[in-house]
Amino acid sequence: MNFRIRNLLIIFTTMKMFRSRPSILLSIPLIAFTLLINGCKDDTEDPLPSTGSIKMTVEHYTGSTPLLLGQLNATNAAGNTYQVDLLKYYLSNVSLIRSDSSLFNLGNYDLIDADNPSSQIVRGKDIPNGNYIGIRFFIGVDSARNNSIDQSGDLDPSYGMFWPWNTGYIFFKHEGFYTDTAGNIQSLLFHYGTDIALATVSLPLSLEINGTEKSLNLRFDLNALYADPNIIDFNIDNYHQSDSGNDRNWIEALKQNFPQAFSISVIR
Amino acid sequence: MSLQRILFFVLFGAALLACNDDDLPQADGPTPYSLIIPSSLPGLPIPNNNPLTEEGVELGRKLFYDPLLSGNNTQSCGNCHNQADGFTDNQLQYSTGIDGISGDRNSMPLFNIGYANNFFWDGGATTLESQVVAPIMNPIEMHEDLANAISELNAHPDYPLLFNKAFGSDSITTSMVMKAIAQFERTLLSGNSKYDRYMKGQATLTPQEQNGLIVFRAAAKGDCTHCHTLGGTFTDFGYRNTGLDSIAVDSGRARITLNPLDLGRFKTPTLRNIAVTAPYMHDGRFFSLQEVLDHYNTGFHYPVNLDPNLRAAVKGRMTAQEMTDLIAFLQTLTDTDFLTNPAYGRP
Ligand code: HEC
Ligand code: HEC
Repeated sequence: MNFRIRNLLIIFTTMKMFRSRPSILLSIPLIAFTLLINGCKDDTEDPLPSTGSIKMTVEHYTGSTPLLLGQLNATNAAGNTYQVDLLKYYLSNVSLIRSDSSLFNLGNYDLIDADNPSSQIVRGKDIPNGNYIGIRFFIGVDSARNNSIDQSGDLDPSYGMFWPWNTGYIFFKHEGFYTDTAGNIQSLLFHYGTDIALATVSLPLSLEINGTEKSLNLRFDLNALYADPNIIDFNIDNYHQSDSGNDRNWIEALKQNFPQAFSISVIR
Repeated sequence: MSLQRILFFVLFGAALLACNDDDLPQADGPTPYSLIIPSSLPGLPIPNNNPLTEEGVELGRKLFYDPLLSGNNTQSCGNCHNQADGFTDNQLQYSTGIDGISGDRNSMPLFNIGYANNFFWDGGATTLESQVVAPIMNPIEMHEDLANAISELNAHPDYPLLFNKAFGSDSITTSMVMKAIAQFERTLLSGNSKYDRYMKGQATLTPQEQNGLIVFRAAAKGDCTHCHTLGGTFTDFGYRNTGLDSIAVDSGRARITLNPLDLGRFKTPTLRNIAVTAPYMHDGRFFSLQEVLDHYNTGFHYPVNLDPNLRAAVKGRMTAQEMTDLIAFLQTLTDTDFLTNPAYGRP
């Protein structure tokens, strides 16, 4: 029931009960008490401690080295020395997998920015207690949300993660430089997206949710993204905006590589 | 008044105030906009999450004409979409953005746009709301940082109040800007041309115009109705390669679908107000209707995915006189009331 109405009803009945003038004084504390306890509380009962939460911190690596932005110091499987100036991507629909392979989906849309530590934390709450055997998430935005950018939160277009010519989010951006075979420094631009590019990452995990917050560590290795199973050679692929038939093979290759680029551990 | 009464009213008030975050309908919300759809046009689909309101449409109109949304505050949507030119760019083949850079596509008319499911020549934008932010942030158009545009609006003396009236909050978001401009665009309806009045028995076509209509429809002549449907929106919004080039210069629809079969395919445009929206085609390569007809009559090429209707068309099937008559008919599609209606102009 709506609280305003409930409060009014209680006041009405109380007023009726104390018709005679002296008892009005008596009714004041009673009514005040009513308002106090009923005031603005949610209608639902207090949640039992039957759920817990997670805090997942994302860390970026190039091989075994933590990612350093703006440094021409990483080397990929193709042997290209490369630099990352900008690394941003959508990590969405983080889901915990139960032993019967059903999912608990956090329904999140997080824009992770390698240059912004506060963006690198994904939080989930109200997760039912129990044992989970894995985690699944998307790199990108599912087609239900990708076909309109009139959205808020991290999907607000003012973050600039969309193309002006094609409605939809840029799922993943890597901008920087690399050294070509002749030793010249060349620019690199990867803007990955469109519905066909939605990449699913599933990782095994042993996690018990028991009413408290669990901390997870998600490691993203950029070298693995450019190596496993499809080696990306920047001499061949250095500029892709997901806007021509020529981008299809590159999209497919990265989509297959994304699952190998991530690993997860429970730290507490 | 008895003490009991007074006490009752005091407590009544307290009970009402006790809970603020309540979902009772707001008494002073925006006023629904009563859209008048010309009888020559079909019913207009309005998305559930963006109903038309007086306040929303008026705000959208103000934003449409406000250069504040561009990087150096010099260009508005209205610069490249001019009412008198059917909301296209005044005679320009390629519109020029704020940095003096021009794109490689011709500006598009914006009337009856609410009937389309996809926007741009290649259909890249999938909702009218989503389309709005594209020209604002596009470096070759208004070249504005969206976050910056939103904070300029929030700091503006008038806008917070106007947004509050339209959307119930004076903390302006990107979504509200998208919704407001889309609302204004949906009200741009053109359906009162001489041809429409002729169909209602309120005007007569000259013999030349009537002959042009016959050429327009005849399968062995213009055969225009295959794609530019006769009446209503004057387009079926389909994507087709009309053989402008043997190898497409602009990849067209393929840029969106990444499918090579869509190379050089473009959205079929409306033919309403066509006499005032020159130049023509996605790249504005033709400056007169005669040039367009020459293309359809003899000029088209044979790319692999040429539209089958054109592949079957015999070259030289229209005589010079038939083309002149066809142009006379196309001129009956001009809706002067729409082009001069002050409700659509700069506020
Ligand atoms: C610099 C000139 C320029 C400006 C400024 C501009 N436009 Fe456009 N508009 C164009 C061009 C050119 C196209 C065709 C683009 C394409 O197909 O790639 C277009 C296409 C459109 C379309 C698609 C129409 C259809 O039938 O599919 C809509 C809608 C539109 N513009 C709305 C707007 C709005 C709203 C604004 C302001 C926020 C705006 N435009 C600002 C030049 C401009
Ligand atoms: C096979 C489908 C098809 C047929 C048949 C067809 N058109 Fe078109 N028309 C299109 C498409 C698609 C475009 C846009 C092409 C582009 O820009 O690449 C277009 C563009 C035009 C334009 C330019 C509109 C603008 O806003 O720039 C005019 C004018 C036009 N057609 C008139 C006609 C006439 C008149 C006929 C009959 C003689 C005709 N069309 C037959 C599909 C067709």
